[in-house]
Amino acid sequence: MAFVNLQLAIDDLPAAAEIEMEPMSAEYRREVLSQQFIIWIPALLGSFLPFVLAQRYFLLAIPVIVLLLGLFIGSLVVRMSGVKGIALREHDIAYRSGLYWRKTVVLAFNRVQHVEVSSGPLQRKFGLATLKFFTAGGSSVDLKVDGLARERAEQIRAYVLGKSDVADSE
Amino acid sequence: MTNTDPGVNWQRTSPVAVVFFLFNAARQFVNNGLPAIVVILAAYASASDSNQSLIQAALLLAIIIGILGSVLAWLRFRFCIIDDRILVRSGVLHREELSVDFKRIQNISIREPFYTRPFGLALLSIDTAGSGKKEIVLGGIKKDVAVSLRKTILSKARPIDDNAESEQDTQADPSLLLSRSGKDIAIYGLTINFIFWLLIAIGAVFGAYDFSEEVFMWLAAKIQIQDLISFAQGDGSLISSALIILGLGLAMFLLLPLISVIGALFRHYGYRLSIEGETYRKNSGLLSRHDESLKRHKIQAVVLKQNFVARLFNRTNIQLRVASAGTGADQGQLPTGPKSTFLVPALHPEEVMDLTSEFLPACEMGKTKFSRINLRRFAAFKLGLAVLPPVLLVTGTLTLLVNWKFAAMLPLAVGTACAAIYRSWQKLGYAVVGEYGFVRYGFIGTKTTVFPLFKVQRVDIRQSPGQRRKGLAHLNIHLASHSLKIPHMPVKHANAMRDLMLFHVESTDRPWY
Repeated sequence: MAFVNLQLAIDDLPAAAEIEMEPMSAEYRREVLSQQFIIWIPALLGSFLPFVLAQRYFLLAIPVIVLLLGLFIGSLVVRMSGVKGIALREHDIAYRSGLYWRKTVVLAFNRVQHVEVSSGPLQRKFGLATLKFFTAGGSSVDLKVDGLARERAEQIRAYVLGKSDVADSE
Repeated sequence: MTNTDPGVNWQRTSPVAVVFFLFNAARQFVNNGLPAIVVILAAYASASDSNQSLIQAALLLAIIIGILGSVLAWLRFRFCIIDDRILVRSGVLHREELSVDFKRIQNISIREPFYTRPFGLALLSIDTAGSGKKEIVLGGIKKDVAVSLRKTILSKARPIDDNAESEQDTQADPSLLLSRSGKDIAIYGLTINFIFWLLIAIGAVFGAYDFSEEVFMWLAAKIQIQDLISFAQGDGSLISSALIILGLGLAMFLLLPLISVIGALFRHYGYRLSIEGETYRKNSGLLSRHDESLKRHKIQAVVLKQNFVARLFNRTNIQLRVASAGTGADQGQLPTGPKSTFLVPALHPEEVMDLTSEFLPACEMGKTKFSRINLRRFAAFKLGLAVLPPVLLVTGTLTLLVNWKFAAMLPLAVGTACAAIYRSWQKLGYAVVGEYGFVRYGFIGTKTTVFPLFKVQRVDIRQSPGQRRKGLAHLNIHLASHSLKIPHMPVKHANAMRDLMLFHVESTDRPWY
């Protein structure tokens, strides 16, 4: 079998599966948490509205459902932020995400066309930034890394820019 | 913005280009407004005389607007060449200025449609994938200007860092690689729309083909038929319309292959593929001659397609894929289209081997042994997600609401689906030989993508909890031209392929574009 033919050589190659992933910034968890609060607190308050208007006790079930849903989704999202990891090697960047359906993307620096650092209002509050990498052949972002400390994002961008002649934008 | 900058020599295309703009507008109108046209035609057929003349007047107005718009579009369209870039200003309402670096140009083709031929004019299309989905068409410039422009652009397309390569470039001695007879092209014509006949015959779709083109044509044909049906219904009895439908069905079955053969002959008659240094040139066409060129290093992947009809004739069609912006191939959007693929039609098996190693040097197609994916998981996922839900829904409703005997459909449908899944599993395979990766999909025919490992853009590995237990994973390979997905493969192989691809990508400075 032709594939096995290469097995020897492959064993000597650096294995991307064995990369040590570095977790996201500690602030990231807090950012995700406050994001969830921003979404669910108004939703919870709003869900009391039917009860306030109609004064029927069974309508209190709605806020209970919203609360449970919020706790469930919120904890899931926070846990998801916990498993994300990033790793830089000499020639590429690896990013892992997904709580159950795990996904690992590896992107070689010499295929990066364009790097972008952005941060929203909430991210700025926590000193965080999103790093986006673009390659050819896709119109969308090829690798999007949330939850990096602003300086870390800038540092990675500078590192990647130093590795290849790519365009950057902010 | 209309002021011309000093030192910039803006040029217009020939006034004949107005016809080109008109054709474009008409094509866009037909593409976007087909349903509207059907409605209008139907309305026209059933309208009273006074209303008919109203519709006629509106049509006349639309034509006048179209002509005026085309003239304006021609007036607004100006281009110039400064150093290593081409600047284009265009647009009537939505004005646009485009500047394209020669280095970014993927593909240049020269066409001579029937309406510019008598004037000795040509259309030059510049495909600029990689910088947004833009194609520049200079409609109506002198043929020799077009040829020399192409030569300049191609010579500057990429400063070649390899000395050996540039030497080869200068000796530019065109040598013929392949020519196709009318018979070959007719066979190609038969092979292109096989799926199309199948759709009509079975009315179902299964497998891993690139259907979109066929589906689009099928829809177009269907709409035209509806139009005819409504016409027939307008004039008379049920029987006559039933007869018309039956007749049309039969005619479609016989006519469609004929139409695609004629279409292929028009487009590809007298096909000649030659190489000039490192540049492939393809020349074909019955009335309009098409002249396309492609540099060897622009090839991102070679796709070998052999469907059922092609198998009967033992022929294969090859597509050379180049980088394309926003293919959205993984989202299953419309394919890159003929512009970003370079066709080599109706090849005999030995020609396939020879040409593959011509396009991809040192590629040993013959030595490929494909590894298979995990059958159990693949079948379980296909059955559980794609087959069972619709089958259960349909048989369930039919059994409960119409007749319990419909329950017999269930084992029949599932059995057929199982056979089909097994068949597509047999065809699905991957391999690595030397510096090249191979991924094959298929159902009755096959579609094999061969790509240089070092041109891979990005690799993803995905694993579900179940796959982690079984040691399986999905591998996604993103090329600049399109994406390939190998599902349910052993995670060991997925990791090995990823490491190998990354090694090839990272250990070389060879530019991928």
